Amino acid sequence: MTATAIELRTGASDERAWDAVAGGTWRGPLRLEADGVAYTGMLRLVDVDDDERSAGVHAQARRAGGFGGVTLTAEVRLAGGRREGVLAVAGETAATGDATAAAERALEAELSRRLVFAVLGRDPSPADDPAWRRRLAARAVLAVGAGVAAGLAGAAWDRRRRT
Amino acid sequence: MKAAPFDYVAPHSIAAALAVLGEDAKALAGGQSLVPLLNFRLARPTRIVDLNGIVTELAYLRRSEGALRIGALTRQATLERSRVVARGWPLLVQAVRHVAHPAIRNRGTVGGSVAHADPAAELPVALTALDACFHVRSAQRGTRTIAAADFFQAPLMTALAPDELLVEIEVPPLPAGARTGFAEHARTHGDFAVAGAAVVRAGTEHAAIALLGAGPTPLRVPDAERALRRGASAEEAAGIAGAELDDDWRRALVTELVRRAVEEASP
Repeated sequence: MTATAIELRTGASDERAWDAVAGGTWRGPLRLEADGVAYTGMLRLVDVDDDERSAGVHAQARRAGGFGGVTLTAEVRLAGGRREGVLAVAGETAATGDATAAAERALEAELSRRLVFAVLGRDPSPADDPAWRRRLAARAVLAVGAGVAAGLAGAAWDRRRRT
Repeated sequence: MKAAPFDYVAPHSIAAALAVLGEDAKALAGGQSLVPLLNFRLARPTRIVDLNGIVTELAYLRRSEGALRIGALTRQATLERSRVVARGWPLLVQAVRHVAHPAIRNRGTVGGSVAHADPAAELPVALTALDACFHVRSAQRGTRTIAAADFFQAPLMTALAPDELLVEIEVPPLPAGARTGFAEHARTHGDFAVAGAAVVRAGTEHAAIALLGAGPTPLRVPDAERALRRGASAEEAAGIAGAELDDDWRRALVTELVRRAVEEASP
């Protein structure tokens, strides 16, 4: 058993994120690949707690053409507080037989991708994370600032050279 | 043996399922009880209505405003692994673990077990102890709600009319501080239970005892419940519950099982 703790920053409102999680459109058959081996299985919504805004998830995938599989049992809830639209996934994964830790990670990644897709209607992007957007904006400001500074320095150098 | 000939219908909505239910039609959910009955020709419906095409509409476990809502097509294995159920209604998890084997619980549904009303089934007894109510729907009369005490009428017979479909089971929240216990005896693990008991207890405020295999339907024992509320010991309450039975051997068995379940439900 390996503990799973993931935070998914969807950038959507809490209401929209919760409706997507509880709606369960993300469940269904799954297929993933880890270390060049294919796994097929199912992603299930076990239960929904409207009062606490949490949902139980169970996923399992079996190694195709071999022995072994991976399972994931987790609870998805809104992170709450001031973190709007952040989903916290906590639970555990387990691998049996020839299944590897990479397959466990691939199963977690597939659940994360499906959940974000259900909320946003598209695959996750780094830009969904406000912190990532802030870092990008800071870099852009630095780059523009450096450009402006270089331009001013160039202009000053040019004026001095002419005089 | 193979089943007698029947028409097979697989609707894709509740409305379509209700339209084809009626006299001589049987709803097929997990098939863990109905299919053996068909193969032994103990049941000979002219039409089988396969509900597995509407599983997305009727398979859910949802806690809302304190109550648990169980979609009729929820698999027993889902009930078993639900953390919401384990936290709020542990009696259901204790009971479902006694239902046959994992392979059967993977297919068998909660609604199927309830609608089949086998007197040896665990879930009807647990739901009776939890004061559950059953929401049923028909094309002609719409929706109605039936309390557990009125739902089970005789072995394999319920208050469901032939054109009605069980769609949801509603379980009220347990009283604060309630503890639960479940005990049963079967000849071999996973076999049909000979007898059993489900207990919900919250100090002197609330007590519910439902018996399995003590009658044609799940049986509540109000005298034993009253005794528990007044502070009777597990042995005393079990003695009162067992006194409802005529057969010596079964009385001794039920008394012991009630005692174990009450002790499990005691702090």
